[in-house]
Amino acid sequence: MGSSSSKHSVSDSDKAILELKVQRDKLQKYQNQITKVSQRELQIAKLNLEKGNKERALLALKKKKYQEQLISQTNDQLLNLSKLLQTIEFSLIQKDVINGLKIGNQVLVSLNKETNIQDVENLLMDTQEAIEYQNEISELLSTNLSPESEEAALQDLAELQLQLMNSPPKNKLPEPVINSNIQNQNENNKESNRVSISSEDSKNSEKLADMEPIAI
Amino acid sequence: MPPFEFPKIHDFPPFYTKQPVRKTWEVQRRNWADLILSYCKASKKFLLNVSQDLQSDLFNNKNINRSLSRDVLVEILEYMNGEGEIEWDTSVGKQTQCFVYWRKPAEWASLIHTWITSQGLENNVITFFELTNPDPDTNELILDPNEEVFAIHSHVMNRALKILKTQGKVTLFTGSDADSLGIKFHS
Repeated sequence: MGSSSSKHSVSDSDKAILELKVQRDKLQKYQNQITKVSQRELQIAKLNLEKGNKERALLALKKKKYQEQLISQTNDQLLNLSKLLQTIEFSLIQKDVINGLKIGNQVLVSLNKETNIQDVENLLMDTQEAIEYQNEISELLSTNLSPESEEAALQDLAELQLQLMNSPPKNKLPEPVINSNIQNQNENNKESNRVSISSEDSKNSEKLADMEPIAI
Repeated sequence: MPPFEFPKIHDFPPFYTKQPVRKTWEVQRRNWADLILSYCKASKKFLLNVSQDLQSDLFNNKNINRSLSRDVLVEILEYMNGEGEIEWDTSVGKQTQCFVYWRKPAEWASLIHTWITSQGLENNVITFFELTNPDPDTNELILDPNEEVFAIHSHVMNRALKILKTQGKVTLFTGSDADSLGIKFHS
């Protein structure tokens, strides 16, 4: 509890505030007392009037007036005291606020010291490099994937196909004459001939069919 | 404040005579203790003066023409002292008057502390006069929302403050004037 007792210590300003508040309490007590006295003067005045003692009644009323003045004076003093007290209490709070700001500033400065500018520059440069590298990759990727280049590629393909169709097939060179293969070759040729003939036949018959009405 | 409604036992004649059987007497003095506590609580009475209060309605029932004797009252009060429900005022003669703790000092302590924190008055310097003289216009000391403003007896307040001091919830200090007690509450 040692720390708490030091935290709860009484400062000079606390003592000053206490003095002021004690003065205020004393004024308050005085005012309470004088208010009672002044009320009693009114009763005395009434009693004296009933008895027919006008002078005494007037004296009591004069006293009462004077006491009322005192009451209003103590009211003013009480107001002054409470104003002063509030100003002091507000200044104390202000002091705390400024203290808080000071501590916050110190923390900020020490934090700034910890973050070295060179480190930050290096870090930023590294980041920049990484960004550039990333950009390069994405540029490469995007050029490959761009619709124009894809179209161009398709065009190239079409041209190549055209070239292939126009040029005589170079790969269909006369086949090397190998004895064992001749027979097969011949048979193949026969078959292909037959197919070609049959297809010619059908074409011819069609032609005939077309021509018939003209013949009639 | 509505008049205090006495319990039925207050109209029971044997209640005013000390019963010879021990067990009956124990119940009887407990009933008297409860009656004294609730009566004082209702009238916000902190101080009970034996001679003066023996004349009051509490210990006199004109309807049945009975009253409690001084000896029996002192015996009841001694029992209550043992229970921590009263405390003899040592500043006056022996067994003349006592503080009635219809709230124990520890209860007062926690009520005062709760009120101070609810008003945001921690760490403010407060005078003893301020605490014991509630002013409805400025610093009304409403310790219980169900009850109206009232002043706590300075002795009871002192007891409560001492309890708070041992709990570390309050710092007490005096100014240049030894009578002026400054109080600083801590949360």
